[in-house]
Amino acid sequence: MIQIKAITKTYGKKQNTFQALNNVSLEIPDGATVAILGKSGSGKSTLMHAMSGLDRPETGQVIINGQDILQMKPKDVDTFRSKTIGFIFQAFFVQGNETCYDNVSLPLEIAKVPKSQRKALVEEALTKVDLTDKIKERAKNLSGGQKQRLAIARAIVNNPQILFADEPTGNLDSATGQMVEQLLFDYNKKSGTTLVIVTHDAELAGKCSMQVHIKDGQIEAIKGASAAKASAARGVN
Amino acid sequence: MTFPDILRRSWHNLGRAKVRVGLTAAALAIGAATMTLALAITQGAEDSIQKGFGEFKNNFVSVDGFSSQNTSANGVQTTDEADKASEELQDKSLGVEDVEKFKAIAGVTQVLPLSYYTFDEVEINSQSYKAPYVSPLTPLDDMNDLVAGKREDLKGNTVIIPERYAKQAGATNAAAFIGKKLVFVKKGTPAFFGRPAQPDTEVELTVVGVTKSSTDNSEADSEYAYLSPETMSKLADEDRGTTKPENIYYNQILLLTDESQTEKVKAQVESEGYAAKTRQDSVGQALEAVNAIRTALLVFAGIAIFTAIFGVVNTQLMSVLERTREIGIMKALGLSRGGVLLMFSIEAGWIGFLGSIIGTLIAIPFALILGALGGNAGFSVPITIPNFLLVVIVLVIIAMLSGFLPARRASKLDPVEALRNE
Repeated sequence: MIQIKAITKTYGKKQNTFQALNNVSLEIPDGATVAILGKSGSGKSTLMHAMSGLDRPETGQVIINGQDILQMKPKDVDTFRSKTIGFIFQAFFVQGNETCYDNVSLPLEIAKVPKSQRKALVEEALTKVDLTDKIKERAKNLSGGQKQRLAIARAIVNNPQILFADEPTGNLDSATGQMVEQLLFDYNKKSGTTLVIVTHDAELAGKCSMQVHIKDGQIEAIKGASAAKASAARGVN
Repeated sequence: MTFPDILRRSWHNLGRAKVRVGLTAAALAIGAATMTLALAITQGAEDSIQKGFGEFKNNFVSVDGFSSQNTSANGVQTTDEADKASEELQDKSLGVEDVEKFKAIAGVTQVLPLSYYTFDEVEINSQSYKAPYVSPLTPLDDMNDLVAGKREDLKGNTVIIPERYAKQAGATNAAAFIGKKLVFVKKGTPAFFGRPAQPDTEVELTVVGVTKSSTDNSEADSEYAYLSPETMSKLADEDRGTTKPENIYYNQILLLTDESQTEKVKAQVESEGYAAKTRQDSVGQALEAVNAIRTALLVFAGIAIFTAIFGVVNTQLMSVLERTREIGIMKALGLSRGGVLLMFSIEAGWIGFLGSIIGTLIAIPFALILGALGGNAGFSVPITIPNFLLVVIVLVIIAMLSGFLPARRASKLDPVEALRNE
């Protein structure tokens, strides 16, 4: 369960301040698929960054597994991210000069998983995204769809509890995009991982169990299965 | 990330900008090569000093005379005082009573009074040749290069002589030279201003030992012939016309000591007004000179390395700028600030490592050429393993320190900024 309580994030200084998030509260149950929708600059990416501990809102609480990550030391937040969270980005951000194996192995190395266990985990992750034949291939030789699948393998290799995807299909053609979406939703069903997708693609958002609409740093509407519960949480604050 | 993973990843990262890294390493390599050569040259000098002084054992005190004592109050002597002191010093010489005094010192195992004597010519088969320098044989001479005969046979009118004189005596090998009789001659002086003429002194010496000669003819002067100390003293006394034992004097008195007692004996001897020197002193002086040369050469190496530091900083700054995204990803995946810092520092360290290896490879041909040039003089230019490791460690540490600034910039990078979709 991810509980967000009244977080506020301001960028800039003095006259040039810009409030990216303004008193946002949200509750996401375990295993949910959540779409965060909004225009550019609405604050949807900032919300994702705040939930994952990449960014630090000035006020409020981000409670994951009953622990407020805003109260943790930076180093502990790093460790928390390496063990609990996976990331997928619009521009893939895979290391072109490295092999697929090394790309997927990176989060395991960062999480200090012993070398003996890594090989099996990497192979398992690459099997899930159907890239086993590319294991020794350099990532720059892959197509766009393959790169995003590789990024997914990298994100899921450590069996994260929460998977954040920032416009995962934004750089892909619709057919490839569909495949990547399918992969993400299948993974969510099989593993029970909470899936948080930041997007402005209404069709993709419609496939999620919950839609959070953001406008000007505030939650405009929450729709879907858990909407009532989330709205209640918002009402409290 | 564990250390081996960081080592491996940072090494791989170097491969991305091979030309840039190669050039930076080459700049460091020039410093590394200078440092390697500086260490090799001074190592060679040190080796030849140690070899020159034989197996290093600090087991004797050499007394060469008396130390001049400045008796004036504030250390400034009048010319009269100085003349008087210098005269006194000349009048005082090491004699029989000094030998007895030294024998009583604790820690002295043997007292060897030595006199020096020189010959001008040696007659072999009625042909005159320039005589070798003669030296009294002491236990400090290891005689490792004795190729025929025995050192124990050196008593009375006998000599141990370099092999190069064998051919003149008609001996085909060193062994055949043993037992030959050679006439050593010290030229007399003609009458001069009322001083009576001195006749030539001739001494017949039997060869009882032969030492190895160098094939290099220029080495002839550094090859000594040996006489027993007693024979030398007798010759010297006869030459001076000394007859009474109380008038006998020596050029040098050698005190053999237990190694542990040497410094104590030296202090004791010096406190009694003698000028004393140990092997430690002789080696120490020579090594001090070598150290000064080493420092000078290392300063040059230091300047070369210092200029290369800017290259390392530049290369690593570019690397950090180019890899903003990658750093962002690693931080998003949970790599700590310290981890990023270490990763980029080690990457710089690898450049230092490459530089030290390339530098050593550059230095090897130079060391071989210098070694070949100095070979005749018994001087080598060795690149030793400890010196090589020293160069590697120094360069890696310097490169890591230079890489610290860019590494810190990388570690401070905000992943949110780095991963913006733009």
